[in-house]
Amino acid sequence: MASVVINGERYDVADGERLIDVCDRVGVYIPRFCYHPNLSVAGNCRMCLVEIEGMPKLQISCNTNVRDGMSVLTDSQKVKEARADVLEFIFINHPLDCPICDQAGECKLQDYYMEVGLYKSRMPQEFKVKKPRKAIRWGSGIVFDAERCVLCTRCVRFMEEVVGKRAIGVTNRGDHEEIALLEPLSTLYAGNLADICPVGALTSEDFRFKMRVWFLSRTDTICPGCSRGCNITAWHKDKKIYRFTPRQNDSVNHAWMCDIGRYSYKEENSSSLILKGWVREGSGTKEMATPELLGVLAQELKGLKGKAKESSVAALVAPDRTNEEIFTVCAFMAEIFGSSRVVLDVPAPKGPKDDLLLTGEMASNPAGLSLFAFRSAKPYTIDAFKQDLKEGKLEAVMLFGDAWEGLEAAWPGMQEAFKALPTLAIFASKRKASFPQARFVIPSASMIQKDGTWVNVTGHVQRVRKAYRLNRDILADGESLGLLAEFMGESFQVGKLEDITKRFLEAIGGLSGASLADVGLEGVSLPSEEQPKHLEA
Amino acid sequence: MEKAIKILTQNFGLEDSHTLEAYTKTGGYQAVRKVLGKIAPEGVIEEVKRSNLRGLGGAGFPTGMKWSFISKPSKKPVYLLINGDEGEPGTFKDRTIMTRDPHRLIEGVLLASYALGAHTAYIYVRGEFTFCMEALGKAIAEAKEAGYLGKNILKSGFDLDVYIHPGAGAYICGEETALIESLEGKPGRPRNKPPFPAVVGAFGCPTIVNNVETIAHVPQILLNGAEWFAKIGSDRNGGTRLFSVSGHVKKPGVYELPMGTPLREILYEHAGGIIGDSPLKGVIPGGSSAPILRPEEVDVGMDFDQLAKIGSMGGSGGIIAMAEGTCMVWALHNLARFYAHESCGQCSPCREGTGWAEKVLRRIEGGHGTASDIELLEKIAKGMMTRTICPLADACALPILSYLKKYRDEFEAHVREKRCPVRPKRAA
Repeated sequence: MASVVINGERYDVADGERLIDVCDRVGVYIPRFCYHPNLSVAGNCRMCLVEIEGMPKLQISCNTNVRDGMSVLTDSQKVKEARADVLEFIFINHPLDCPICDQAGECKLQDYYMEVGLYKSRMPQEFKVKKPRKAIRWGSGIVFDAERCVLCTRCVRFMEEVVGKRAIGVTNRGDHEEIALLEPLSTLYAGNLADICPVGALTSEDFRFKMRVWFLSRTDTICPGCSRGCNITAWHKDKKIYRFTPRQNDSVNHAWMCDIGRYSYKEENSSSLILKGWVREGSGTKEMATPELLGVLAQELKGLKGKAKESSVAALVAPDRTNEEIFTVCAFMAEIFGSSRVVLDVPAPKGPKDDLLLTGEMASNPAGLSLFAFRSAKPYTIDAFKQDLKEGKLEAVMLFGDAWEGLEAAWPGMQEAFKALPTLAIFASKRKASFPQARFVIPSASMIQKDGTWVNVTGHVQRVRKAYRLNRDILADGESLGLLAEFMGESFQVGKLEDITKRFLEAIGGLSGASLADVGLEGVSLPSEEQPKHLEA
Repeated sequence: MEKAIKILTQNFGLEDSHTLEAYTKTGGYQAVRKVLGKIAPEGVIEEVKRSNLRGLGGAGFPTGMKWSFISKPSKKPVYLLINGDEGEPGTFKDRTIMTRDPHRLIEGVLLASYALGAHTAYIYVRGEFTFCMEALGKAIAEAKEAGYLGKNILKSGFDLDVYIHPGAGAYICGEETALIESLEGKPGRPRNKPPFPAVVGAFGCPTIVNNVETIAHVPQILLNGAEWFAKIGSDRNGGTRLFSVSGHVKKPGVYELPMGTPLREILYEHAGGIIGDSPLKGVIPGGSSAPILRPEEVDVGMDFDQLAKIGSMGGSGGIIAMAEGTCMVWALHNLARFYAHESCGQCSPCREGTGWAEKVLRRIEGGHGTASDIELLEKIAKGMMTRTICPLADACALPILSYLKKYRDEFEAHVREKRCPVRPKRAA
């Protein structure tokens, strides 16, 4: 332990911790361009200079480790002057093109200018060294603007240290120095370059000029792309997502995300989603408002109730549903039908896998699904379901979720097998998930339209957040099931999200007593003995 | 005048002074015989400490103290790097040692490596100095042949290999951490400190970087004793150093003189005075990075401490004299252009500041400056000083501030008259 004094306030911190990290944590912000907590220290921008007692020169806080008894000033006159001077140096060869720069609004140069600069330019335009070299397409969705670069080398270090490729380098010297592409980026992590660039030198081809960032609302949520569950921020406006950006979480994804996840936001927008449900009648389909649709489904299910109801109905949950949805479906089946026929071992679709983030399981919650399945002593497996289906025991099947590609890959002829079913209902969000054989397609809330939790590949329970609901026909699965029960003349109390989360965590063990509030922004990890076992295979 | 003491240059007059034969005939490799296996490495460091030998590359850091920063025993190999990247404008001394008396350097390397426990030493030679590399290469081969390098040197059980590493032409590689980067095959960009090279240096191992001239002093210190050496120089500045005198003097050249020799004596006695017996206008005492001195300041004793006291620095010992008739704005612009060109571009203040200063100076010298430009120049210099990884920004800022302080009227005249009032107009 070390005791440090920052601007007169005493803090107890770990000995040897980086000063800039300590300041960040205690809420004393120090401006920086080159420092990034997940990259090595470059110490070249010189913006983070602070005054340390007993040292004649100002020191960069990114390369200073705290020692016991250290006394630091981050807002002294000397520090303020240094910051203003350094910022002016960075500005002199920078173009004044904020109005046409896509970084505007989230640009460190703009921020710091307002904070410590506010001077008039003393550098005539014709003297600027950097000549406009703009909008150079680097490939992999990255656009480079040489003129705006402040040479912090974050991108160089990211490629070298995180991706492991010397694809970006610095050429020339002095004020003619320039960032250059040395070989094609060709990585699934290129999108991060636009995020870590503190200025408008590297921007995202996909996002640029689509929307000014200050018009966008932010929702902190989890990437639905794969079972890593990268922490992200969804940027949206008027019920449309414009981009996903990673959110710092060192126990999951540090500050990165892959491009597959990054651009998966497009699949969460209305053009890819089921906006209104339908029922198949004869050779055609008939669109219906969801309550109406559920009413028709309820009539069919009610008819079953007289028969051997426990054995004639089954449900399948895809590995992209939230823990709460999994729990609710199981509860619904048990309470309404007295049935435990819920298939929980639906495999996740296969996808790319690497050492960095991509897990190869292209669904958001296979771990949650399998953890909940393990709780049951006698699970209803996919093989048992297939057998029942083959033997014609089943009258009605309900499918919950979108990620069926894994099941389809493991079960050739799946669509055919469903054909003979009298009643097949699917509660899905995405158009691509609607089964051609389904008689009922009920719009279910997509990840941006609902609250809940997912468990990631390492057993980290994380929170998905609702930003908006596209229309009144889209319901969360819990709401749909509540209505369905009502139309069947039964009562099914869904309960509050907080309670379901609590009960789910209790059921899987290891995190008993934890609540939704504990999950919070950072998530909570399951103890190692309780971590998902399906991965060991 | 009493007979001057010559240490480094004592053999320069000999024919074939670069050969092993000439060196051994004049007492060469005697220090090695005296020390290796007979005096403990700690004893060698102690002796060098007491000799007041200072780092003659420019910083003037006490050499013995620098050596003591290597913690022993070291789990990793220790490296000794010899800085022969001599690039400071106005400095041309190390090349004379490397070409005329390379064995003196090699013996010094051997002794220093012994003191540090290093078994590999690199001599980093400025890329343009192919002739130095040639001479050194021959000398290393000779020394190896004679058993002064290689395995089990003089049966003492001590091993040492010396390699020559050519630089690639960047001034900044004279800065020790940039030199290490360059040696490792990377672009020459100084490293953040801490960690210091004595802890994490070349290839991640403890490393000491010393200047050629500094190391060439070591054999005589160990042969004649620390007291003998310390007595030659001035207070806390032991021995002699090589002064590279250039500019408007009658006899430019390299002069070996005791530390603390008055600048006036060097200029007017050794270098023969100013060309055409013109009055002196200014003199740079320690390489281009050293703040300039006015004629009334030339009585200063040329050692690190006395020069620091009057606000300049000993630096690399490169003395550049400027006679009346030199335009100080032009001279400063020349320097600024050098620093702008040589800034590695890593730290924002230096990368942008050196270039900016150069542009403002070009403007003033060309007669396009405004009154605010002089203040701007001062602001730029102060803005980049002490705020960067290495001292290159300071090396540019210090001269700017000193010229502005000591020759301000000349800058103002440029702005007022909208032309250079000193230099004759160039033909259109």
